Amino acid sequence: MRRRLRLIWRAWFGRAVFEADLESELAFHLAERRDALVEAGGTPEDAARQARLELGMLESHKEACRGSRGLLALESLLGDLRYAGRGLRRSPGFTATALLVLGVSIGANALFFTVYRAYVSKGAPRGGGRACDVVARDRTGAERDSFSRAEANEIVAAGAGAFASAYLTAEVRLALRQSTQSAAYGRAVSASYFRGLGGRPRLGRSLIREEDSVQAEVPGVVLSDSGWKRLLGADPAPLGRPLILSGTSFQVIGVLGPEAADFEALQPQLWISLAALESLRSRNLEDPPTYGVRGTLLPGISIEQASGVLGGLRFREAGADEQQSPVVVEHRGLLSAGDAPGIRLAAVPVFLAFALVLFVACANLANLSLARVAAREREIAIRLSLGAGRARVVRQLLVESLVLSILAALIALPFCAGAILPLQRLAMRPIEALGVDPTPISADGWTVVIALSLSVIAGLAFGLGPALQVTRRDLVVRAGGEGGRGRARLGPITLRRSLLVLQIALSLVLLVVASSLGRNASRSSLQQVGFDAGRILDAGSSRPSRELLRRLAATPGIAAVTTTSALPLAGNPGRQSVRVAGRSEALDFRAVDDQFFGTLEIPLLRGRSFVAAEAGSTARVAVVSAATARRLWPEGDALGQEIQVLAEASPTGPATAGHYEVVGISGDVMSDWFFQGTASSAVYVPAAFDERAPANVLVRAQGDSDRVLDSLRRVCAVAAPSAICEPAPLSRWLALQRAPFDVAGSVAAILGGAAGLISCVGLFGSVAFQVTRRRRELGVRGALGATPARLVGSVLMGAASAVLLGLALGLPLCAGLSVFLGAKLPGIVAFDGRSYGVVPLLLTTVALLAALLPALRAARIEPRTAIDEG
Amino acid sequence: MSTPPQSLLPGTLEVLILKAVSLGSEHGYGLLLRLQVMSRDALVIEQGALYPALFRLEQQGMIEAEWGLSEKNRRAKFYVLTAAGRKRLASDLKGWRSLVATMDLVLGARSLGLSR
Repeated sequence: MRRRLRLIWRAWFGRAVFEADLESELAFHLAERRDALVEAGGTPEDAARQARLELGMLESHKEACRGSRGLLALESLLGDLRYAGRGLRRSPGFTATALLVLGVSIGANALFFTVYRAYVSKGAPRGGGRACDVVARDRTGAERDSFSRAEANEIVAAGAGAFASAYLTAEVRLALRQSTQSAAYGRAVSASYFRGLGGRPRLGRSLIREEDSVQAEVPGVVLSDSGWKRLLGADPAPLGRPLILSGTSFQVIGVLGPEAADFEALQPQLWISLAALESLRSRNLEDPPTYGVRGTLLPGISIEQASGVLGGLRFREAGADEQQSPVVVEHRGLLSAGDAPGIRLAAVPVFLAFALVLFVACANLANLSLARVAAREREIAIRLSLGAGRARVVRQLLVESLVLSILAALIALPFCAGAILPLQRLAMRPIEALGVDPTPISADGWTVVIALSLSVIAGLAFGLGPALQVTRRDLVVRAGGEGGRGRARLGPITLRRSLLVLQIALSLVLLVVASSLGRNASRSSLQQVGFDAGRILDAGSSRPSRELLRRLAATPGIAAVTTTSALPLAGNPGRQSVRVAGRSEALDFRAVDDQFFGTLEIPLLRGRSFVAAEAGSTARVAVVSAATARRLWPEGDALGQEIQVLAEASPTGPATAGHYEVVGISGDVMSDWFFQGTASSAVYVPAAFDERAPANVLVRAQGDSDRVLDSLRRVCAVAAPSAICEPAPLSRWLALQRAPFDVAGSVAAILGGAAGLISCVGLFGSVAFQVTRRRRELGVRGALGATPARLVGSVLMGAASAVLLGLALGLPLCAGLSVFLGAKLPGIVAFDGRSYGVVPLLLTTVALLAALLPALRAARIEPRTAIDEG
Repeated sequence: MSTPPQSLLPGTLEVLILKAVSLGSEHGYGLLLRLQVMSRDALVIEQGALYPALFRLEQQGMIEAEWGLSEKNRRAKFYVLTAAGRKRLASDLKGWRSLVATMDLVLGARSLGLSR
């Protein structure tokens, strides 16, 4: 086999040598034969002629020799490539459009796959292996990826035969006290974590094994490159520097370089030991931490084998006394194996949207190529009649489309690779604003493989249909001349038209989805929230105290201070079962103090707010929002009505069960998720601040919010030294909620815009082509008295009917999607009137304009010349 | 008395070439002469068919080629048999002999040879 490949290689790339050898071998034969004939008595001239005659047709022997080396296939491929090159050079407009359209769609898809692979798909590389998670999977398939220290140790011990390195890890957020109070994001890890991280510490050392279980007198903290910059301002001499983290003194023992990238989605700023985390937790009276177990497998061990090694382990699940979950090993991306299924599900519609764009691109190019090959149909028909096999002609046309698509992928790849990081930054901006760096993702060999595979699929997809269509046997008759010009045949026209209709339908779907998402995201604008989310600041203290409240109230720039059991705009506080007017309901309770409505400036529409005495005594009174009142008591007056709380104390809701009397009706606010709109289940009950209960402190800023944020950090550092303090305006929660909608909306808008544009280019090309083809017919009609307007109209009619058919096909698709989305996300406006009204109108207008430009040429056709050409 | 020259049975050129090469390294023209001598001029091998067959056998790894000098000091391409070629020749010979024996049996039969 190797020999044969060597011969083929020599024949392909040592072409000149091969030809020269063949030439001299045959020349040698002729010379020897001539000598023999001369020796037999002939004259040299006669002998030479005789020798040539005996050997026969020299060229055909050479051809046969080349054929036996597989060179003919190469030659015909080179011929096809040259043919394709010539064809593409001859129509630069088509080539440029095709490269653009394919480049954009292939590049976008390669980008999506790269991002998806990095986060979700298997095998983030780590220290020469692929990253794995250990999970306990119960009978229902639900997975748990956090374990107690004892369980985790058991897994690591049992997995010694399968893992190259296994370690325990837990995410930590610690209060960092410097001149002000801030939060540091990091991980508690066992020492073996650093083995696979790559690179040596740039300064000092990493954690050692003893530190897993023994707490040093002054525990050490290892900083990442990002932590060193963000937390220490890139201090040139960081080693030994003290850091007060959640009230405990640590000292910096090492700094890692930027190459030590963790394979978590967010880069830790610091690492502390397991012993340090456990002692922090117990000192702050918190539950002991749970750990994820991660690692890389030994070479040659598969995840199935590793799961087998851990097969003996079974852990009892909380709340299910009898259930024992087996422990298995799974590959992971930047997201943990436990998160992956949810993301995978969410990625399906995104994947479909990207695939749709590639599909639209292919449909559009199929359309353009059909128009193009149809223009060459005479040439093709003649070649077919002259005996060229259909397969040969189809192959030639396919090589042309493949050259285009592969070239497009090669052009798109650098752009795609360069765009990943900026796009990731853009999407992660709300997270970066919290002071945490996302793990950068980059293009790799897979990006190239995916782009090239997609390009081959696309090339075949848009090339095969037109190639088969135009080489159909029944078309060969045309070469005879009788149908060579004039009316176009049914086949290509129908296919082209259907492709055009499909493109318009798909563009419509993408654009309507984009518009709906954008409209839903903009519904969260500040005016609609019900309070000024930019001026209401969450003090962000993990352990608020009376001291903190007192100091805040006295801080200049803070107009009012209040406490609540659940932050507005931070999701559902947790529903509570009640009975109202004989019905069972589940309502969102918030326990608030008497300052709540005043601080947030939520108007009391009727009745009254709470008084301090009620807050202190946990009186059984309640305030409901107007929307809640309307929903619960649609006919009667809500004031004076009763809500019966069934269960006892919940952490965020009413402290005691019993009948609560509605004493006030407040203005509507968006308090949970913005896409749920104004809350229609919001109930407020009074509660005084209690240091033992979970509570959030909100303040209203007067004047510059940024200055107030600084004051908050300073006050926190003094009043609650060991607590995390991350003050932020409530608008940041809103931004976080909006982020996925914004990203999805922008992606859909870009994709929809691209698809729409591609369709318009297709429409333009198609109409232009039609005008060229119907030149003679239009000329005759002009000569017979048709006005230019009429001629343009007749061309436009064809385009308009394709657009209308596209809309007719696309709108039901949109409606189906809206129904689906509406069912999945009850809070969003699925059928957004403006999206359904404006988008189709816009698309129609742009499409008709694209058709109008070439159609106008129909009016300029000079009847005489058009008929003469015929 | 010499028999008139015979044309080749289809598919037999390659085995003849292999046999000719198996007798020692030789160039294309020499192989042609060799076959003529071996068949006592009974076989006519079309000269043009020889070279594509040689290329095919080389491509299949049955023979190897090397450039050298002929007796008359001309640059010529010499072919030798490879191990694979030797194996192929042996199996082709076996097949050929069994075919000839079978053909002889059939063509030389005087009666059906079946007796009860």
